Amino acid sequence: MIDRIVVKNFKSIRGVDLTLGRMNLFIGANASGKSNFLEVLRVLQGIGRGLTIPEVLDGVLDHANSTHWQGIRGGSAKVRSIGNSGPDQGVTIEAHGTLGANVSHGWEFKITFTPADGRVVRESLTLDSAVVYAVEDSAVPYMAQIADERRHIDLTNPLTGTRRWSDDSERSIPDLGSVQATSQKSSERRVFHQRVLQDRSDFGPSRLVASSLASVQKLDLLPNLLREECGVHRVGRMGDQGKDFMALIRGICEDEKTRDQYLAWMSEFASPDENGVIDALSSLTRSPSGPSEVDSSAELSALSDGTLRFATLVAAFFQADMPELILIDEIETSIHAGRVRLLVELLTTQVECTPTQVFATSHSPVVLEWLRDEGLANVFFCYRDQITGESTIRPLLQVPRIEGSIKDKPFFDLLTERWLEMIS
Amino acid sequence: MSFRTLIISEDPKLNGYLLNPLAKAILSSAGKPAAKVELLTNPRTRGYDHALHVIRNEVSRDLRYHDLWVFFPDADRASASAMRRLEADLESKGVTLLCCPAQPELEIYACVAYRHSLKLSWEELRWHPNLKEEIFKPLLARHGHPKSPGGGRDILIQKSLRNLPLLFQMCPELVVLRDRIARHVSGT
Repeated sequence: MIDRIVVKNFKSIRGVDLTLGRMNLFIGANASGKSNFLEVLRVLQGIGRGLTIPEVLDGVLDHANSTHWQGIRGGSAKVRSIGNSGPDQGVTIEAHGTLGANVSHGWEFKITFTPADGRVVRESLTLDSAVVYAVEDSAVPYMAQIADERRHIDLTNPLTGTRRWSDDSERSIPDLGSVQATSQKSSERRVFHQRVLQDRSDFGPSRLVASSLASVQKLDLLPNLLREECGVHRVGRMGDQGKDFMALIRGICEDEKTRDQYLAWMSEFASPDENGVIDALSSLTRSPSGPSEVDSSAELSALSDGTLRFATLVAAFFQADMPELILIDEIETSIHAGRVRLLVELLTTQVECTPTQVFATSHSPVVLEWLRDEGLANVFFCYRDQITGESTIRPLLQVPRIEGSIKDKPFFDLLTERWLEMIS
Repeated sequence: MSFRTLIISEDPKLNGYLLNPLAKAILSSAGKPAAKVELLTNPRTRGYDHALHVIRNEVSRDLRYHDLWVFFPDADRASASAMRRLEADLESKGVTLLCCPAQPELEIYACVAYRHSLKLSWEELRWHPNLKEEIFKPLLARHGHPKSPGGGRDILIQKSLRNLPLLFQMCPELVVLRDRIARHVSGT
């Protein structure tokens, strides 16, 4: 879990320092910086996966020219902070986290890099206040000389269980065995992943933090992909865009208790007239070799986009292979306002039952209305200054005069009348 | 034509998991087994005072199409006289509202089936000053499930509803409500 994050000079974010919770919601107008913040987490994910900074920012294609890693929106050219026309000051990302659900091992990972040339200026990792490594300055691109050859690696965390890469794209970290022949100076630039390999145990600090940073699922669901029957029977985690959703449902439903809990969410979501939802999902749980009265793919394909999306969001919290972070842009997409209460309940309760932290964005005042009980402590308001173009992100409860305003005004007015922007 | 019933609670966030099955069972017992039950969630009521404001001022025009409204406040502030006034106000606006204050809180209905496992007498439970926090939540942690919607509140209330006569016996205000609904349905 990431407890705190500090970001400087990343896209529209000049500087933010946020203390985070398990369920974090970012609100604000379009282009206010919400998604840019989520992209910071993807940069950390890419680093955790062993990608170079240019690869993280610009993306990676595999041999068949399909996307292996989706770069940051706009690529490295757009990462330099807005309004920063002078020398490249570098992007700094500082993440403070804890390893494990019960035992707290605090870690801090800090990196400063220049996006134009992918140079890592400094990088350090600390575990339980002890420095694991700290390096500073380099003249050539970070990990630029890394061999193309990659090897898959299973990272096993004793506290959160075994992870298997099962995303749409392959996840790999560089084969650092080939680094031995390169100069000491260039190898310093790969220090994080050298450390990962040097951790003889699977549970060494660098390896665990790399695993933690890499374990991100950005749910960017495509309804058509959700409707596709996949080649595999069962997976522990679906792809970011919903690939293998049907196989995930089959896996969830193998255990009767888990199946009942999953279907209970869908029963709450579906109106009494929508029995087809449960029928469609139930049909997936039948053995493929056994008699089936219904074509499960056809049943599922008939569901509406919104129902499928909710079914996928619920399934995300029942994955056998849970990610540490789930990112969801515009959580209310395709969900009827009358069902948003259930969506908020899902997110706020499931983060307490799983080792997963959620980062979501929203434009919906209804979402905020149902989050009142949680005290809105982890709701962050994003605001973009129209003159400088810089994004400010601050806890909603730190917006001046907000507490009185929340009591007096419905969230609908606060958001739609741009009242929050006016006083920020 | 189905019988439409609007259920109003002090806070619908999680109370719906208790109230929907409870209201359906009472309506069924009152002669309306196919009644449609809808919980008021928009606007979201936030406490007793806000619920009263919403009932009196915000929804009495828009939601008149329901055949019956039932308000389930907690009994601590919902005096009999206040409830009579509220019902009379709504009647003047063409709405049939029946109030059923839960003694002491709504969660008591889910406790009925588990009363023998609790250390307090039923009388003590009925007058407990903090039933929801001190009695119900630990009970829910034991018998519900945090990964289910409502944390498994439906599991607890369904167990109580399996013996409806006992629930009526332990919570007489529900019998009063059932009889009033039956009279409303029969038009007497």
